[in-house]
Amino acid sequence: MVALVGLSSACAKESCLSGEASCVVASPCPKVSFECGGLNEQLAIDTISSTAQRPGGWNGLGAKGDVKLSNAFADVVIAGLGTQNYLDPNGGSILDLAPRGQPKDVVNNIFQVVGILPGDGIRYTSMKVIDEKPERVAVELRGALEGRPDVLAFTRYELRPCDRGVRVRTELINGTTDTELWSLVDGYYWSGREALPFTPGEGVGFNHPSFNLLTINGVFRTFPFLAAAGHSGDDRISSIATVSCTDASMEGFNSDQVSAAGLPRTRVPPRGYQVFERFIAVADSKGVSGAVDIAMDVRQQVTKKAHATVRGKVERPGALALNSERETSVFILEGSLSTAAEKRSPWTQVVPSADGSFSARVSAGSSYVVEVHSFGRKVLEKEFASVQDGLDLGTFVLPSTGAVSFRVSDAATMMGLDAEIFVVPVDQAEREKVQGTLHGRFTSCAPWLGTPAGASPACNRVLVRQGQATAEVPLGRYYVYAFHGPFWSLGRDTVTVMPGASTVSFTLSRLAGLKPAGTLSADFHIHGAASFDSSIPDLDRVLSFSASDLDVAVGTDHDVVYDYTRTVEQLGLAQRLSTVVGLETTGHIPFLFIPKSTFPLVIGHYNMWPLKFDPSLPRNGGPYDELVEPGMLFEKTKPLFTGTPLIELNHPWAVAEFGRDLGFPRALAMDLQKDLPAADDGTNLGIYVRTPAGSTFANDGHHAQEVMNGSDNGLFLQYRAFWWYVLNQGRKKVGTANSDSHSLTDNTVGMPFNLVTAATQPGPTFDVNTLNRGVLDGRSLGTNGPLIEATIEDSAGVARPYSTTTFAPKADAKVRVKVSSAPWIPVQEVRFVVNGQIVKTVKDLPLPADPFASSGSFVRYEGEVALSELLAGVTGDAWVSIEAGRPLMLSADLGGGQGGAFDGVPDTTDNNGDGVVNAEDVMGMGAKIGPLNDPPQPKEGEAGFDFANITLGYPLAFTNPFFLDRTGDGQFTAPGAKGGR
Amino acid sequence: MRSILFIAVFSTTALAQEVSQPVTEPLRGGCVSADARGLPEGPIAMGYVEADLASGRRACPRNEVGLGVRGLGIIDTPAFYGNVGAKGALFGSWAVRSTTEIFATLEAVSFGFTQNATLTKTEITLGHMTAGVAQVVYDTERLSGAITGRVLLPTSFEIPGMRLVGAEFGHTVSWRPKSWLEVHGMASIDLTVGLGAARSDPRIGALGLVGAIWQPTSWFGLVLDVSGRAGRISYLAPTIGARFRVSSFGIELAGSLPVVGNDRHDFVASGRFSWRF
Repeated sequence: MVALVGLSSACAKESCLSGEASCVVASPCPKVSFECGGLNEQLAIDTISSTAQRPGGWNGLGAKGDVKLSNAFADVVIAGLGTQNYLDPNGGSILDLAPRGQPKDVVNNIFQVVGILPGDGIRYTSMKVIDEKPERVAVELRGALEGRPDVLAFTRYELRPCDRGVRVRTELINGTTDTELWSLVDGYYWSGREALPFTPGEGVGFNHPSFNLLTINGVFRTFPFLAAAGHSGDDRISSIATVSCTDASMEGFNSDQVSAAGLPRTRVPPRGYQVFERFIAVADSKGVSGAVDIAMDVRQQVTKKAHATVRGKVERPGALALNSERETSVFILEGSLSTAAEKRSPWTQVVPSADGSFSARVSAGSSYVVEVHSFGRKVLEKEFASVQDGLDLGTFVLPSTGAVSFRVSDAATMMGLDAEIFVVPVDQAEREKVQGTLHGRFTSCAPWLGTPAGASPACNRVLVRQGQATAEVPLGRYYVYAFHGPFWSLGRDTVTVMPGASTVSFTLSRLAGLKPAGTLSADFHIHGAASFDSSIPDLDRVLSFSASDLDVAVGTDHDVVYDYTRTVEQLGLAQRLSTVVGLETTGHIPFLFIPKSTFPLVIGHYNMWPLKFDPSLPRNGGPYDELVEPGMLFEKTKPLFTGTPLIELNHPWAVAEFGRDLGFPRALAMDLQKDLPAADDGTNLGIYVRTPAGSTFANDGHHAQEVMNGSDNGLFLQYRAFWWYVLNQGRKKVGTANSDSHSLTDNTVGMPFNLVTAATQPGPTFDVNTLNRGVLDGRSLGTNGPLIEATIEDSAGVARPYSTTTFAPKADAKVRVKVSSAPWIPVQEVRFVVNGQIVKTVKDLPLPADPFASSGSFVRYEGEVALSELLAGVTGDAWVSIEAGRPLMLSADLGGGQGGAFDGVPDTTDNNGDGVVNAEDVMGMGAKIGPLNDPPQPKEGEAGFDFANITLGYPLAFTNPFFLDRTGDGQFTAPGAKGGR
Repeated sequence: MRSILFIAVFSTTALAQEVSQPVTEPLRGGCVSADARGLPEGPIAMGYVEADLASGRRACPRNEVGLGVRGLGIIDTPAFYGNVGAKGALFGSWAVRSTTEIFATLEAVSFGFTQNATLTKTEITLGHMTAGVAQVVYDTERLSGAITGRVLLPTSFEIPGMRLVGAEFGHTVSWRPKSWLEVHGMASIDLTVGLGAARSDPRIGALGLVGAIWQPTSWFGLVLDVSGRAGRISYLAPTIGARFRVSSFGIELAGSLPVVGNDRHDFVASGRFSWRF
């Protein structure tokens, strides 16, 4: 036995596989080298101490304490220890990777994991900066798998003077007593609407098999490299690629949300280990080709597989530009024209330079098809056999488009307006001619004018600045709308786009008297490119606020505090538009367990404002929001507020994404048929009300809750059900209406919005504290167009508006209601809600004759209803809310709670139109509930057709409640889950 | 538990009385008188670690070849973890003398299935091999005892980049107070180390085992063992088995479950078919 120990200790241990404290991780990728002439003196390594050192770009995150490695070609930022970002539990991940000195970071987070569970991430606990200039600089990290200290982990990031990216080596040793299954990979957190993963493979490229956490094992694929590029539609993008330094392929999976690239899944018994060496390239290119070229070079050095560089040119007569993905995207696919499209293997994707020329590297000796895509559609393809280095692919001439200039002016002043143009094909045949996608990803649009998630033009929308914008539009016949918010007339023209230049002009009018005096329109939930799931550049983001004529925009980027003030000033909007600094906390790391469930959960999303913006700090000064319950999150955020705090529970019943719940109530699977307990009683409802240890806030300590989220009001019925429930529980949570816009396409900023009664104005004198107090007082209406003014007489005969202040109503009190809207926003009915039930509906309201009118009466309903009529059958105190808009779908709860139980949340609509909601309405294989559909989109000539072309939704508004003290005890007593009936 | 203690105390006392008697050649004691030809003898040859390391070994030499299969599993639902293995083994022993036996086991097929959340991986490789020797050191009419030594050879491909070697030294004893009852015990220590690029991570363990066989006929026996192991992996585990004989062929079916310790197996089961010649 002694001999055995001697024998084992005599074996040479590689790198840090000995696990010894004094070890040094071997330098990664010894077979890989680059030449760079005299540029090798730019090698540097620094601990970031000021904001100026952060690599720019929409995803730049580097902050004080992070480590930046630089050479002549790349900037790489490694998160400092203790700096949590997204899925990285404790620092050590790659936060930024950009071409040297350029604001083009497209990386959210690159981190090491061995699986999909929280415990499969690496928690690094020590970091060593290695400065061996002029040969190399490096960062070495040590730690262990999260919660598994016997699985030791070591990672070294290294940069050499001429490297076109970063070398990485990760070592993992299984010191446990169990055989583990590891998929040792780098996780790439794209998170949707950002960089898209590209891998070679039959029918793959940008298109990968869809999956969820239950089916993920079936979508692992091998690929020679993984590449990605930003799609913000502007110049602040680059490309990255990762390639193995030891093998010809990597294994992983890909989606718009997250990619994994690394070693094959491997059973690792006790004492087993894995070593993963890769090169992560970065290049200044708009398509993936820049980084792919580097990956092909590395691959050639590692595997000796030769590559070939090919060149070509693209032309389009009269083109405004050729050097963006919207105009030109060239794919080079292995195969031939006789090869079915789904069998061709894309190797690279190129966006030409301004003169239309391009080059790219592919594997040498194979046959290729070159496809040219333009405006979301493939327009040309050519075949090239047995491709060798230096091949000239020739010139590709693209079909013509129309260069359309849009002009939008204010009818009163004839000055140019900021506005948003919507281009909509006039019929299905026209739609099919111009429908496109970004290489099969993101939203399908008709016409596809640009990347839906990126800069204008995006999808079928164009931002107009000071009355002017020009965009290339595919030939076709369209309705063209000019939109400047719900207080303005809507412009529409029918346009046939022909080759060459043309102009479409609109004159819009402010609808006099429509907007109530003393109110501000505010959107409390907006994302820009600072969010990990948004690519819309700041200028376009802020221009969209102005295009919707918003008074106040609260920036709520995911997990980072962000300030749009400078952009507002840059656009000259500071006199009439105010932005507020906030953020949306976003749980990434599941940790919370609820009764009867074995899956760990996150706490969903909360908006918080106003906050201090400090870009020198991690998350720009945002709170650490992982592994804490909401009450503790509120506690941690408390010192970060700069004024009257407002905390909003977002989309409380939204469907989880990638196993991460978006709303705390749904995560808890709350049963809304039961009353909330007074304290934590060990139930799901108890978790909702409990106060975490160390916090002064309860988990339901937020102030407001989204009732409307998104321009299409998608889950309004569920959000409203939860809001009604908490009101019935005596929680005076203010209902809000927000766009949750991440781009020009997913939701239109300010649709919906909050109309807040507050004594402040947008512009230099704006006071966020006054605005927030107006919201906290419940003096807020949620709407995407209809405006509701309502009062109830109190016991003294004073007409009281809705607010959180409880009052005793007059014995014969009336509810006086006035509903107004722009002519293009039809209001078909008014609904009265008491204690969570619609008790009266005024139907079939007359519709405006001309939806594009700019004058006349905007009042759609004005009347009064006896309070006693509304309160019939209700005992005790009551709350009253009023809704207006389009009739809603009949809906019911058919189950859908924990274990399929009834939970009081509507989950199914009357989908067969028979007037009842039952099992016959359920659709989908094996489904027992759902779907919860929106009202059908109106056809041309029907009310709301034009509104739907702008919002994809339907008109809707709700007031915050009147709280009525009917028992005379001076307070509002909760009606309970049954609403006092 | 009380019966286990009784057996342990009883066997220890008996051992103290009988162990002083010298071994003679050729054997005329318990090893011969208890001969039931093909029926397996001694403790159930099933362990929790590599191959037959840290498992019971009979005291009496015999010539035998056989096939065995051992299945092990950990199903940890709260941790979304599972590991199931099946080892198909060839084993044999040769009594080079009446008091000396050499033996070996080769896990010719090692099947493994591991699940981490919804990620899964199945693997079939050549497994571990052990080779050893047992030397009878006393053999009376009712009591036999042997020392055993066993080495773990680096045959397995289960650990990527590493080979596992090990050694075990132990003493096994068999006491037959009745023709229908055998009480046995074993104590051993073992060491395994890794050979390869990574750290060797030496792991030492000590095994204690007591058990009994109820053998009402020459063709059937029922075995109950209790083994305890200390070391990096620790457990106290009862093992129950049934043995059958058809002429010179033997069948052993057994199952075990750790009840105390850090071992996480939810089941260990084995089946062995042997031919004694």
